[in-house]
Amino acid sequence: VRSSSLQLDSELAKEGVLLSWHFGGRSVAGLARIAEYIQRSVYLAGSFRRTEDGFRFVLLDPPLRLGAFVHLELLVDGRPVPGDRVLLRSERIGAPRSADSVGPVTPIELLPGDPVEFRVRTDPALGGGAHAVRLNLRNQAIPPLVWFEFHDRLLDRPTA
Amino acid sequence: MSPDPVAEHEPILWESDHPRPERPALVTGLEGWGVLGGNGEFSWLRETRGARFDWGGVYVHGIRLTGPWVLQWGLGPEATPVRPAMTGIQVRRSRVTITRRARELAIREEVLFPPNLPGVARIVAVTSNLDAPATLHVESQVRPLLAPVLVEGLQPYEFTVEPLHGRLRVRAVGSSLVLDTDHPVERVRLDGVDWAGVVRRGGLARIDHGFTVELPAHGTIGLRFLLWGGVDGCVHPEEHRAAPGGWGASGDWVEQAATDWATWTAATPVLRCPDDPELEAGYGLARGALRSLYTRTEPEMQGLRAGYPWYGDIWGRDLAWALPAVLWMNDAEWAEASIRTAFEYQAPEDLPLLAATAGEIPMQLSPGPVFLYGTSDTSIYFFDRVRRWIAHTGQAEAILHEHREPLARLRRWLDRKMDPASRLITNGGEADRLRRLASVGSHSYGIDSPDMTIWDSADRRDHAVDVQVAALEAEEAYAELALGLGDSTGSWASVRRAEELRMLIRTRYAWAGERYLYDSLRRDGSALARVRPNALLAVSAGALGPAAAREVLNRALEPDLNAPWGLRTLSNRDPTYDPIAYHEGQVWPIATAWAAQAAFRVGLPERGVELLRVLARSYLREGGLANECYRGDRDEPWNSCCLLGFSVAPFLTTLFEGLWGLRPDLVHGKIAIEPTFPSAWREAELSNVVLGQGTLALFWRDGTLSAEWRGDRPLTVVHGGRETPLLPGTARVSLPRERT
Repeated sequence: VRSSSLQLDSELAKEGVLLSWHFGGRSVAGLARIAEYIQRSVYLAGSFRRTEDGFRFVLLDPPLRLGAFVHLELLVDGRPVPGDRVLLRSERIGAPRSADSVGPVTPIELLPGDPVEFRVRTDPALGGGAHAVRLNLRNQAIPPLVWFEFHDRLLDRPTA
Repeated sequence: MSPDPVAEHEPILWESDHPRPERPALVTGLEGWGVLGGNGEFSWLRETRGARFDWGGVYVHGIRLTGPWVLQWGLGPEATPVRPAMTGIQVRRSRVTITRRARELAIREEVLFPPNLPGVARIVAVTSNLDAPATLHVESQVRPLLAPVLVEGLQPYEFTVEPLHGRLRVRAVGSSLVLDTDHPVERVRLDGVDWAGVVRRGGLARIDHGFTVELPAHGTIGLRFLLWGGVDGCVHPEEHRAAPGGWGASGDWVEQAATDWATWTAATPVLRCPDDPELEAGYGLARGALRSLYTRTEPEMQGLRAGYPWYGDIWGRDLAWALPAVLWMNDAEWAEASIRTAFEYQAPEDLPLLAATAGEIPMQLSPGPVFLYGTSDTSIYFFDRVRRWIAHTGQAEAILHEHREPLARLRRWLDRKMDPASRLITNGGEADRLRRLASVGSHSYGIDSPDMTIWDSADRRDHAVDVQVAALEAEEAYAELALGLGDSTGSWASVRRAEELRMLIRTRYAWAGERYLYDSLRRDGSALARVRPNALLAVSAGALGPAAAREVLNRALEPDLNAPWGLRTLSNRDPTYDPIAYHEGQVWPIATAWAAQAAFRVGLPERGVELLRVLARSYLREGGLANECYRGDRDEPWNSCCLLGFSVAPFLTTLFEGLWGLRPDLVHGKIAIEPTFPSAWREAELSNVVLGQGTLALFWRDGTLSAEWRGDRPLTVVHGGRETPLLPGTARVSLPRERT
């Protein structure tokens, strides 16, 4: 993992230099600014934690597109989690909703400034260490799938 | 007595004596814009991708600085709240005027984007109805956002608040906002806590600025607020130790903004259609709407925004569709700067990080600069746009000399897009390369758009018909450009290639069952049998023979594609039709304009005017704005910006090139004029059309066309098969036809 990551970074660095050469340093800075912004504004760092019956995490903003979504799917380490085990709640959503309740007639609205907590029941419990959590979202107005994936270490429940 | 030129050219677009919160009211400037609701508040709820979201606020350099932004009033030692009710709103291009009234106060407010400043001003006059002097408490309440519109779903959660020359400046994501007033601020609270004037980092939901002023009995006081900011490096706060430009100039802002608008409008062509007043009114509104999209954020970044409120950046494709209309608005200089901007950011070589292939024009361009590539068609249009620019100005040598290298890169880019087996241009897969950029660090994200034609949420791989038509027009343009570049071999190659594409469109795309054109062909040769309006572009480009062209138009105008409020992006008989899917059934005004242009091309002016009138009525109904799109099943905007250049620019271009049939060629000192008017029309005029260094006026009465030409060189008019030379200073002369 480390060597491929280094390779990617080195390729990125080369492309960054290329970009800077052609369009000036501000172009690289601008791009980095947007990338960092997305990194900070979607997944709430440190929110991926173990719960009594699974885990939780928080998305501060919808990834890349706001709106009403008619399909929502969660995958952990590439495996889909059944929709009835994924609960979402936010100030706007109101009462918690399960992912399998989301559909064309009953879409779920994800908007900026309305952090959404995801609570996921897992059986058996998720092992410790790092995991990949992916969210697939489909909007009826613009159907191509929007997806977001974060890699993070699963933290233990806070001790009382 | 001559009419007031400012009132004539900067009229009220709409007004109301009661709140209309559902209606948007825009104030626009070169560096940004403001969005208000029709209740005069910086708050406008709009259905967006199926959810209602508040887009009200102030935007500079593509950054949403704030929204909402509320002024609150209190009177007396206890600051007793006064809540004036809105009693009137007047919306003009240059400003929005709001009046409010309470028992104790009358308030008049002008909201505008002051010329050459990066922010929105609120110029307020407060009149007392009280019999004694009173203390007026003013609170300006701002929600900091600093959210780049480029990434629409996000807003920052951490802000830095810092002092700036005694004022408060908020920073996040490489951008900042400052609120200025012309009265000393006495208190600043951050989320309800007094600010001590020191640097603070963290979350921030609300800023309150407050001050008090003495209000004389039955007297009026003036207050001024300016909320400004933008992208670091594009705005320079060190230059603004007072408000940008100083408050001394603010007294003239309203007049200056109105005069700027009126001056621009007065310099544009005048269209008179006494037989169709709606069309004439639509022209005036579309013209102003186009101008409100102009942007210049840095010397090297000039063009048009795609739309409001959420497409506030320069989008290469949208710019390309706007440029012909910009030229017809006598703004060759703006078109020139826009094309120069597009070429400035042309990819000089493959840049996989940004999904660029060598020679490509950006999909999207924001101040910063931040830019991305990855469309199948944007670059193709620019051959024709350079040709048009030359044709309007006649400055072939200078233009081609300056842009020789960008054109050569474009040429190579187009050659790479050709599939050697089918000889067709390929679309699809352009955005796949963006994934590497989107997977930096521990997060990855993306949109699975496999194809990036003009309907970029639809999968139309591998050879969409409109991409072939654009390539045909590109080759025709390059055939002319190459001659000017001294490359006769390249010119002939383009002539042959254009003919090849024309034959491929006629033979490979012919859909006998529908008497239409297939929407696309797959790499294996199979057809994508969907009825979309894109085939109409083949009619307008002259890619089809007369009979086939008329068949295609007639098929497109059947009710499954042509709703009473415009053309759908997909037939409602298609199994995948969805009336609220952006590119799978919604009605798009740009598609309606395509149909109008096709109707004029095949000699059906009644149909052409009828379609243009659909658009004109929407501009009238929408108060001089033009929705991006509407539901496919009813005449109601859905997932729609309230103004898109796509919705006005092709309408304008069609008036000049379809209705009036104008095709300038100033390089050879010529213009072809073949108007096609409805049979019921008796009269039409088009004047103040700038071509090169001259101005043309056309008059059509009872079938006879006459012209006036004021220029320093002769102009030859080609009309009805005859050439008529107009000498400089030609008074009105009739233009004979070879045949009637």
